[in-house]
Amino acid sequence: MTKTKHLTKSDLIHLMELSKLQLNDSELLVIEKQLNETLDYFENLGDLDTSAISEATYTTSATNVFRDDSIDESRLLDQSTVFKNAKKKKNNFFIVSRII
Amino acid sequence: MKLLGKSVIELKKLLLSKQLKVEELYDYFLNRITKYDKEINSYLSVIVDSSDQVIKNIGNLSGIPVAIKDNFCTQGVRTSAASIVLADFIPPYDSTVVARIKKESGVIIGKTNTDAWAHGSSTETSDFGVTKNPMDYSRVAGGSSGGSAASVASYLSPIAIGSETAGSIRIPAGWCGVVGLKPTYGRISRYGVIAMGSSWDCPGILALNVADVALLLQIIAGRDPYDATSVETPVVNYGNYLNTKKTYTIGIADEYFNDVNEEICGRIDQCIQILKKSGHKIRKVKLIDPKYAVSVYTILQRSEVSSNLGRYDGIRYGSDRSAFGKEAKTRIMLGTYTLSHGYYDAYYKKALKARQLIRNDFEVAFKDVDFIVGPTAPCTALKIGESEKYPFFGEMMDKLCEPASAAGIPAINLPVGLDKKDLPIGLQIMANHFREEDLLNISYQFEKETEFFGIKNQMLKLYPD
Repeated sequence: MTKTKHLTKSDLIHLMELSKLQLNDSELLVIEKQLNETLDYFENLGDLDTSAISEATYTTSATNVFRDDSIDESRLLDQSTVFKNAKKKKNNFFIVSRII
Repeated sequence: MKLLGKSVIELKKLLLSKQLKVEELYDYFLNRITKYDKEINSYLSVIVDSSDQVIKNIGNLSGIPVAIKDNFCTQGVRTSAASIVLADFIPPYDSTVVARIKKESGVIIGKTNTDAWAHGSSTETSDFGVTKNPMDYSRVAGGSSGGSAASVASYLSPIAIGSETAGSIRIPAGWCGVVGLKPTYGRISRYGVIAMGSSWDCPGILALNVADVALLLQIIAGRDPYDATSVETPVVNYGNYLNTKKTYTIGIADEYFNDVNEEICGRIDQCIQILKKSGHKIRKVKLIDPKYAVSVYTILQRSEVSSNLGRYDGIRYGSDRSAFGKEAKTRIMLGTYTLSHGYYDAYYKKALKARQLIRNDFEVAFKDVDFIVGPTAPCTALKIGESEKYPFFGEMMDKLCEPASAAGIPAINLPVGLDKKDLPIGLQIMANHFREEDLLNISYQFEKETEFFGIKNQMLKLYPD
């Protein structure tokens, strides 16, 4: 693996926005140090020759699983149950932030 | 009646012969929790009113109390994964593991502490306080299933459910001195378990002895239509399988002894000699250095975390994303980076290939040997707060556990006595995919031979009734 660049504060602010997180300057400083140390550690993967290896997507040898396209009544939840954990709701709708 | 330290199987006999009532047994553990858990902090919720549960003693668990890690959904009982994001989340359904335990008349006694979102190896990242090591309150219980391990070690529950992504059952089992099984990926359903690293996550069992693990595994293992990654491979009668003494070939890989504390290495060598004396063949094997599994695990797990924790938006349940703790934020940020355009090939794809290498490496090794034996952790339980000194703390503690998780193979921690500081030492045995019955067989033989170096009595004398 080629030596990768280190993450800068502006990279981190970009990642923070992508992940919809809020971090203050002191948190960003700590994360910057920690993530760059971690990225340095990843360099060791360069020791392994993986040129002839395909990617592992699954660790046991399972295949696709299908089921009938039918409703499993035992798993149905009624509306009051579905809304029970929501903090903001109105007339059986979840209230979300304005998007447009 | 003296119940302290009795196995699930012994308690079950007492219940079935009506020498003990389900309610009495439940109250016995509730009283112990009241007495000791203020200090240990192994439970996040205790189900004090069990009247709707403690009614029947039919089924294979006959009314045995079971502690459940707080990342398994329990209908009507708060499930927080030790994060304040889910501090008020009451699941409308049971995870498959919990449903199967209830179906066999197991009684859920409480939800155990964990690192928040199971992110960690010490239970220090829990938003509800650290779980202390029952052998030494200045030390951590390990993690992330630290609450489950500590509750079993101090006999605040006779058996507990934990979960692993890479080491989260074996590390706390090792540091608390109990048996901890991480089965093959897909052996136990993940349905209703708060997802962390979906291609790694694996429910498992912590108990004081091997036969109890076999009993509970029998109940919770097997295909579940609600988890497409659970497998069809038949579930054998694990309990019966223990009764025949089998002879195995055991592999030892030097790579698993690098950077491991000398006293631990000495104890593991002693255990290998015991296994040899019992008639098993010992053979050297060569495996990929576990340090590479650390990179594979960190890249893939962070990537999966950034995706899995994307769902927490506070709309349908829980709080919004401002409530995430430091560790979760760090992991999401790194995972977002390793999956991002331009870095995907260098990190995610490379790690997937290296994961395949590790998987192939075990496959070759298991052509010659039945098991690979080594230490569970490079050291015994650390002091609370000590992890701050290690920037890469969790991953280094989990180093010896991560290859098995990368390959999806089963592995177990067996307690093998205490070190000079009176802290438990753990022996790890790894086996090929779906060889749980053999893993339990050799563990059971080892338990009969050694009684785990008398560790149970040493622990429980600190926790009298």
